[in-house]
Amino acid sequence: MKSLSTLLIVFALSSQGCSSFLPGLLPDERRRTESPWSSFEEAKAAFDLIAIGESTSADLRTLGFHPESTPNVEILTYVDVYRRFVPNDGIRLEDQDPGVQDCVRQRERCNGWQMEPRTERDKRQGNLLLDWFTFRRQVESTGWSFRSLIVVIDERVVYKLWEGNPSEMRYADSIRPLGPLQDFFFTINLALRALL
Amino acid sequence: MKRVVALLAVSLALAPGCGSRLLTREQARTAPWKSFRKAKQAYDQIVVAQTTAADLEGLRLDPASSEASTVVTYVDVLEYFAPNKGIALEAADPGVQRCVHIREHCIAWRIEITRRKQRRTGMALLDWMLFRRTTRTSGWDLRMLVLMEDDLVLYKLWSARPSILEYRDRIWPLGFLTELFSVIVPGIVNGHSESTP
Repeated sequence: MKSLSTLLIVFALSSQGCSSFLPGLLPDERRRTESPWSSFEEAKAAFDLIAIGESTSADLRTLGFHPESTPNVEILTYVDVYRRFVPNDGIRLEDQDPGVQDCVRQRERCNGWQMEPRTERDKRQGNLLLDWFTFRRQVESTGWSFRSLIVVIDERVVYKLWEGNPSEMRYADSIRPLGPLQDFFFTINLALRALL
Repeated sequence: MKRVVALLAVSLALAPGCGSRLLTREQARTAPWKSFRKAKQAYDQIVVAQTTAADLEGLRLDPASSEASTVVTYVDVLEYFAPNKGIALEAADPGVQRCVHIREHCIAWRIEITRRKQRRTGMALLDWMLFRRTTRTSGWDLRMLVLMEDDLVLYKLWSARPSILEYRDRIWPLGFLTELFSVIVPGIVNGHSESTP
């Protein structure tokens, strides 16, 4: 029995990808801002159906961009819209789209509807034991985000703008050669400070 | 008897409806309104050139009765409506221009109501032993700006996030043992060491 355990530990330690040997034993975290769409493409396709000068508040409700029917839609004032398009002295309102200029002229009758649906996933990869003992931690972060701004005057869309990231992918690889002992004295220092 | 108690405990912990026994945390900047709709109704009752400071007290929007309300100066108003040369104050409502013109005689209240509720959902035993934690965050925000001269409302403006809904699902297949050594090494969880010097 002992030799079997030893064999298992040695195999796990020497394995290049322990997660493939013991699938799913490393942590996984998903974060999601609720929206009607499950992908960037879906969100963009819905956004593309908005027609400037034609789409109404009711259309936006159907498409999933209305603050009363979809969570996480922020209602901005005309001043917020103005400040976004004229952020400094060098930029004139006259250089902006007529829809934005109209929004500023109409003041309180105009609002910006902004939303940023996103999903994120942090999946730890690599060797289970190295990860567990904090010798090496590899994290793959994936997700997507879509940010839209729709300018509405009296229930009618006068301008729209989008930005986003269809596919985010980042890696973090943290190597601590001494593992849990790496910051041993820092931990002692923290404990001492807590005691004193 | 022992077996029955153990069986009951396990059944309770495994029951999908056990979410009610999970942690719920609610945060709000003291405001009397439980819902966005009610708060917005209070704002809608403010009428420019009619509503007085006393009326606003009645609506519990004044800084004395709500910590969500702050008194700001005409300079803050100017900074918001005309932050740079590209944005002329003349483009703003006459009420805003009047406020800036009368300077210290203008009283401005900025009211920022935020409400958040975090509720952990899922199976209590898995949550308790850190195997799986699913958190649902909901809430809303409402921001208002009210300008007054001689206790009479000159101007009002609002912005909001009527509904906020976010989910977080964390799976630790080894449960409470997963970050055992991260406790010894503070700050390292997802490969990032933050608190170490």
